[in-house]
Amino acid sequence: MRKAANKVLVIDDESQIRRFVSAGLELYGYSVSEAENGSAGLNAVAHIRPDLIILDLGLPDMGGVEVLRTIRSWSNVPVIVLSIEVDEEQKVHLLRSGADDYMIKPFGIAELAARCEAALRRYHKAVDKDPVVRTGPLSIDLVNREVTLDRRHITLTRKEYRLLHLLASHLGLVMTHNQLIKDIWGNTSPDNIQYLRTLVRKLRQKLEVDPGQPKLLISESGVGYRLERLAAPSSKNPG
Amino acid sequence: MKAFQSLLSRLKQSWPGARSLAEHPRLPTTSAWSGGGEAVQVKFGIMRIVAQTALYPLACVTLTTALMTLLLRYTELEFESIVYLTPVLICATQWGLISAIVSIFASAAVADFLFIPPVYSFAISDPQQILEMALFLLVALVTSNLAARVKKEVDTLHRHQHEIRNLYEFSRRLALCSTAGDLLKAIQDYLSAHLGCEAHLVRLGPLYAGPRDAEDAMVPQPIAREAKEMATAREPGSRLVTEPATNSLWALKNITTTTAEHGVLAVNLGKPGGATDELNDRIDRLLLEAGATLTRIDAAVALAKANMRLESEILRTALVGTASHELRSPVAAILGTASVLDQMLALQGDEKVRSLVEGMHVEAKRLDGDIQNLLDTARITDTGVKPHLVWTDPADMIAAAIRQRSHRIAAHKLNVDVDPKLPLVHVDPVLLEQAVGQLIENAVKYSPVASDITVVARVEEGEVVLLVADKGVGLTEEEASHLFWRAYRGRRHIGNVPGLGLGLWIARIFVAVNGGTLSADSPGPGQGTTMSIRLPITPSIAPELVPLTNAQGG
Repeated sequence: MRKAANKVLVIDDESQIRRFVSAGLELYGYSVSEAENGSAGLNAVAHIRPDLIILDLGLPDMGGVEVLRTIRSWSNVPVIVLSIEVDEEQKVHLLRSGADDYMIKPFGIAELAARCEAALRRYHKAVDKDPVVRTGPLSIDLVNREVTLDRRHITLTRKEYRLLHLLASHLGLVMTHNQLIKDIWGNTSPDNIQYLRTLVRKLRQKLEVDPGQPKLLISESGVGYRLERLAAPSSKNPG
Repeated sequence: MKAFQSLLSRLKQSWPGARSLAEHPRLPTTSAWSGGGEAVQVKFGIMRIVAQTALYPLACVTLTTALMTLLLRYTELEFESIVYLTPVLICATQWGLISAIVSIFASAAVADFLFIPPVYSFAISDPQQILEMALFLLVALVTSNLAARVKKEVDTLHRHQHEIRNLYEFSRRLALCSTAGDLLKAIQDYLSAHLGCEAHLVRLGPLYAGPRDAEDAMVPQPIAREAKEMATAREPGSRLVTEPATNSLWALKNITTTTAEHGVLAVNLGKPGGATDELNDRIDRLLLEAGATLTRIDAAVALAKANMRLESEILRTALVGTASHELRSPVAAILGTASVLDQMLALQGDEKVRSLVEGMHVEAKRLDGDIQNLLDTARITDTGVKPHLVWTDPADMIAAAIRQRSHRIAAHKLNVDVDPKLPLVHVDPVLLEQAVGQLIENAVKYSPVASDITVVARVEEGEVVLLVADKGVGLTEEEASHLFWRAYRGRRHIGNVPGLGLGLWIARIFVAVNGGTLSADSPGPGQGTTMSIRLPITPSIAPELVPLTNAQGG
């Protein structure tokens, strides 16, 4: 993985949150800068040119979504949004506005670090061009369209593969129901959620050890699905 | 003669003075009309009757005769029997028909004896005089009858007028009453002042229970006992009871409105007889009048109470909402910091400190859960919950609920049995996930470490049923019936198991807004609990896709 320290900018008005996020992410090898409001944050984005931004929604001077849009107007840098209590529609709205993922307070540092890594990987994927996505026992060769589970070949239908491909190319990040439906069926009819649910269920039955307690294909209630990034069964902790 | 003077003075003052006699048809004793400034004091009823039927008419006739005698002596005028119509009319208008008739015959006798020749004899010689006398008698009878009738009507009119004025006064007093107590006092005052009835309120409760019930003591015991009985039985309407000791009739009236019970009003109607019926009617009319006011007062009191409750509820909800929000950030910081410490110590490998950090994490997490519950409570009370319905896989909800709490379930043995052919349900997955999560948390909280917790999802009788079963403390009968009340906590657990008693209340509402039901089942204390959520199966638009029959294909 990328050993050069990634620069992370934390924009949050609460010093206690900034403090533990900084200390925690430094443990994971990031170099962290802090900003305590929206305008200072935008300034810092321009000057520091961070590799990743952690943005709190409840800023005193401007709305988090506004900050997010401003950043997106000139940069594709991964942004993870922090918030206390947002409903599912707001989450979907955030993702559509360009957030790479969200974290609802309270959260643990390990979760945040995992999201950061997933977002960074996704961002650098285009550069890396590594065609094989691996998570736990599952590996997906995006170029050769090959899926193996515990090194055994798995046969998927076209739609199942499409779904897995989408989630794998956003490994560890949430994809909204609408993003998935639009990509797989080419429209956003709300009725398609039924087909999506059914498709996910079929895919789980092929990939999961216990489909009743899925470990790979995770549902984010009211928002979407996520292909969880798990350590390979044989190797140690990644990073 | 004294009575006669008083009659004259009253005649001079005002005509309606006559009404004072009609005021108290029932009252032979001391009571007198106190509104007009004049008073007729007639000590005994018999004396009054004698005065009215004999004394007054004869006095009138005598006076007329005296005046007549003087007139005839000192003027050239001739005797006219028509002059005697004056005492007759006075008697008719003042004391009624009997008195008038007495005066007619007295007049006829005196006129015949003194003025009609032959004088000093009752014989009449002149046929003309006989005719005149006959005419006089006829005219006197007719006019006195008419006059008496007019007098009676005027009396009735005056009585009604007076009654109306009293009632008006009474209504004004009613309007000023702001409590039921004031009003009952007003009724009692009215009854004693205007109807001369002794009235007392007998409240609900045991006889002579305390100083508040001092009024009970004013009512003779047999009557009070009957009144209590009536109040206790909530018997509407009224009863008439005769008190054996004094042989007086008491009317018992239950004073009740839709919102409150005040007790039974005991009214002494006096000796049984003709007047008691009318009196009873008047009391009923009075109570009917007062009833509207009483209802208004009771409703206002109930409304004020409800308003106060509502206001305090709104205030509390707002307070809970704000406080919870403010608490949430520091708890998030504590939890985050604990997670960082945990990572640091993991690197150092100090297990002792690590367990301390773990303890901190667990407690902070619990606190966060409580805050979440308070926020949900505030949300439910404040704005209500509007479910955002989408097609959802019940398995997803269960998986997410378990996943969110994997940390807490770790010490138990969790079995998950989800039917792979479950149909999709049309619900709000976020609310239901929270409800399922709450059931799982309760199972963990109220069952011993390492015991089984079973989560089952299956179709039963056209419904999707989600069960969470534990082998924990179970439910007592009381707990089972109060389980879903807001802020209810089983007596056994208060002080032993932390909690606010909100979780199941919230869960029940979250399930209910999705059209489902939440129920609890337990064979008894110590024998475990099974909580079940039942969700209706809505016909899906893609029925062929819903039962996954070709699941193992591929």
